[in-house]
Amino acid sequence: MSHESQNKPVEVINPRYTEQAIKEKAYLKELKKQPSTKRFMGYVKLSGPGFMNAAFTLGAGSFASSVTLGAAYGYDMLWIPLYSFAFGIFMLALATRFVTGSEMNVIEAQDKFHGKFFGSFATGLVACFIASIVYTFGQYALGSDALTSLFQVVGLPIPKSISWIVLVAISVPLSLMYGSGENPKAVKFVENAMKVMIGIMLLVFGAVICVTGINLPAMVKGLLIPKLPSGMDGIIMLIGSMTATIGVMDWVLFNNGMISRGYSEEHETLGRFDAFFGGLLPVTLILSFVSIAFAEAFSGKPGIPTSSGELCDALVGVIPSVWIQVGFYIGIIALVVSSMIGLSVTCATSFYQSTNVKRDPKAWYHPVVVLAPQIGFLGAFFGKPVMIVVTVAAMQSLFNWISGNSWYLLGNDTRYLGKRVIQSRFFNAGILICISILNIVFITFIMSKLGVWPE
Amino acid sequence: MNMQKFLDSKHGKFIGRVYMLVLLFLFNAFIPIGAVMYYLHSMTPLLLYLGVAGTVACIAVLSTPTKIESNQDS
Repeated sequence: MSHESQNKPVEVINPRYTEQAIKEKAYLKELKKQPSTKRFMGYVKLSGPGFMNAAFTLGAGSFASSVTLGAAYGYDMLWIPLYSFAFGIFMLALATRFVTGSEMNVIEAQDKFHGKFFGSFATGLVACFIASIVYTFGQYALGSDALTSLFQVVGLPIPKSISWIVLVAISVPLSLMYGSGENPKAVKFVENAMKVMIGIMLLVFGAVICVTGINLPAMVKGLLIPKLPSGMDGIIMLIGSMTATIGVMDWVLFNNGMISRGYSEEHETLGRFDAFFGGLLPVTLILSFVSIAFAEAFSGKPGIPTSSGELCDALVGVIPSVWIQVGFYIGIIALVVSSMIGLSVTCATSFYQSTNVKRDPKAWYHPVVVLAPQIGFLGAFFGKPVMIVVTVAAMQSLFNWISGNSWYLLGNDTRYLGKRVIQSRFFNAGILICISILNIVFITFIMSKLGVWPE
Repeated sequence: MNMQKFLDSKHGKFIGRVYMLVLLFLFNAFIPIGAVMYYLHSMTPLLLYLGVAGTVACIAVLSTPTKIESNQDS
């Protein structure tokens, strides 16, 4: 690349050797000797990639599936986000092991030990890079819709064809800050912004269910006791919802979030803590709140809302206050923006790790790569490009299980992890259950395409 | 034969874990195929049960951890 040679690209230091990461490592060593409450607070202070992951998972897809399940099945399907993220947490723990046990990034390791098809192509380019661009269309479609509805509530008739600009204005600077990865303070700032957005979602959707009401025994039963939905449509919906909260993009984002923060061998407990308290807990709470709100508002009524306007209309009967309506829209916007940042970050990191292009935050192409998913703004005009989304979802369901198998093998490969290779039967079993779910999702998708299983 | 040794040594082109993962995939495939046969076509649930049992067995085998010194040449 002639441009690179002219501008002398800066050598990016491995984040685990930055001053801040080394300080953090020493602090973690000390923290291990502290009593459990002090240790807990210390981990809370240092958490971050888990919240990034939660913010990413909480997007248009998981929101829509929670609305649908709540509206169609009431409290019965609350277990889905909890269980699917709980199984997914084993893959996040595996991602933590990769980062803390080796300096080689996981896609590079897949390339080296299993071939470029498994690493660069399946995990990097298809399951992450292309998917992150395509899935942004859905975020813009829902986000601009919510913004237009929000403006209408306050008396401003701003159409979707303009309101999407607000989403660009919020998501682009944060994506660039996190995507550069060269400044740990900027990374921390974005992680804190994500925590704030998750806080907004919790507050807003929590307030909504305070108004709609909640059936506590039904909630506990729905959360803990899995119940299969009736009929084939229900089974398909179940599979769709499970994949909305678990998938290779989530693992790669978490993996790269930890790399950006300079995680090393002392960080494994922090990574697991973060996956649980930063990931599992907020995702389950927020998606449950959404499901409960629509279970209460929609119980027994025909039809399921799709646009944010329809969603809010469905709730207006039970939400009298205009402030709650405004809050509801803000919650959707926070949900969408946080996912867009996650998609931009995944897009950039998977691109660099899958190609020979050098990751240079000062290079002209870097903002182009980070902001490639922003082409999804067209979603505000045309909605989701359905055929592309279906094709990418199909490819992703194929490559999800391919990547899952490859990651399991890497976790058990001493050539990659040395003595940090998985030594727990329980850990391996959790990973394999997760892989089995991905396998079944893929097979079901193929069967539905063959017409064996109703779509 | 020692299960861990089987999983982490090469048999032909691949290590045992790869063959077991393929087997796991097959048993996983039996689950939705068996479900369609049973629920949609009112046929025998045998394939569904075989899928579930095979999945559990494969997970039990594949969850065997690697012995640290034995995986170096695989």
